[in-house]
Amino acid sequence: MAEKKPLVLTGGGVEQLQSGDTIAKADVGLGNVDNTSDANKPVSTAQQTALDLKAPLASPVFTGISDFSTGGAYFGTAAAANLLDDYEEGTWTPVLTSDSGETATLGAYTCYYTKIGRKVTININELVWSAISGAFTSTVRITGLPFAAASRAGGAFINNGLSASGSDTRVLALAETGQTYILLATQNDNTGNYGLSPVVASSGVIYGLQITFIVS
Amino acid sequence: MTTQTERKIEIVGQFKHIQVRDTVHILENGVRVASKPPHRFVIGPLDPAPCAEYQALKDLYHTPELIAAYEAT
Repeated sequence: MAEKKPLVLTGGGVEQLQSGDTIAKADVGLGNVDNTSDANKPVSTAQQTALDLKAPLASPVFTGISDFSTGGAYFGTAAAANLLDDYEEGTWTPVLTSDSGETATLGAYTCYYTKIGRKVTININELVWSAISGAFTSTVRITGLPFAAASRAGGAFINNGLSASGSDTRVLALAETGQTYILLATQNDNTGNYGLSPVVASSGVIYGLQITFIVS
Repeated sequence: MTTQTERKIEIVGQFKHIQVRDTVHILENGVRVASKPPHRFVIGPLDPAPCAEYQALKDLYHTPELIAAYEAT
């Protein structure tokens, strides 16, 4: 086999190649090029560092806190009814008052709420009042709700100082549609009849009350 | 450390409830480092305004016509 002659560069140019000449990659400025297949091409250290910070689209596992503040997430189906676009935990300040303006003196008190989508749950834990400004002779309310209810919702609660009047037997809490307060209503367990004027003692406590309602 | 209150006011629903959210942010050298849970309240068409700022909003949104419609529900 005839010996192949290396390429000879002269004067910055390339002499005419003769049969049997060879050209090295470096001779034409391609010294770093090889025949590595696409699948075998390495990624740079910087690229790998960036890739390591990405989650796979299928079954991603997130660490830390995910930020959905500009949208939300679909669950089950990508439809409006399956979109969770709001979650919030916060505080609100209750006021025990009556339809005719009487108020109860409350200590410094903070109540909490949790909002998940359109559903809001408000909590009252040991709301103590020490005096009332006058006889509560009309509808009794807890005002200051964090959201207006878009539908009626109610529940029982434990208290000392609120009692049913007349033939009614217990006091219930009721969030009214479109209102920003909880109504404290009375009900007769035997007849189902209800009233709106519980008797309020000069001091008392609501030990625990929780209502969940829907908002607009 | 300083604090900064971010107030968000929304007008919500058919009867223009004024929905207020106050969030207190804690700043260090002007940069937010933490936030307290938001505090909320709502002013309905029949509710009194707690201050002049909200009275202006009530005057704007809680018109006599709206209040009449609200009371009719």
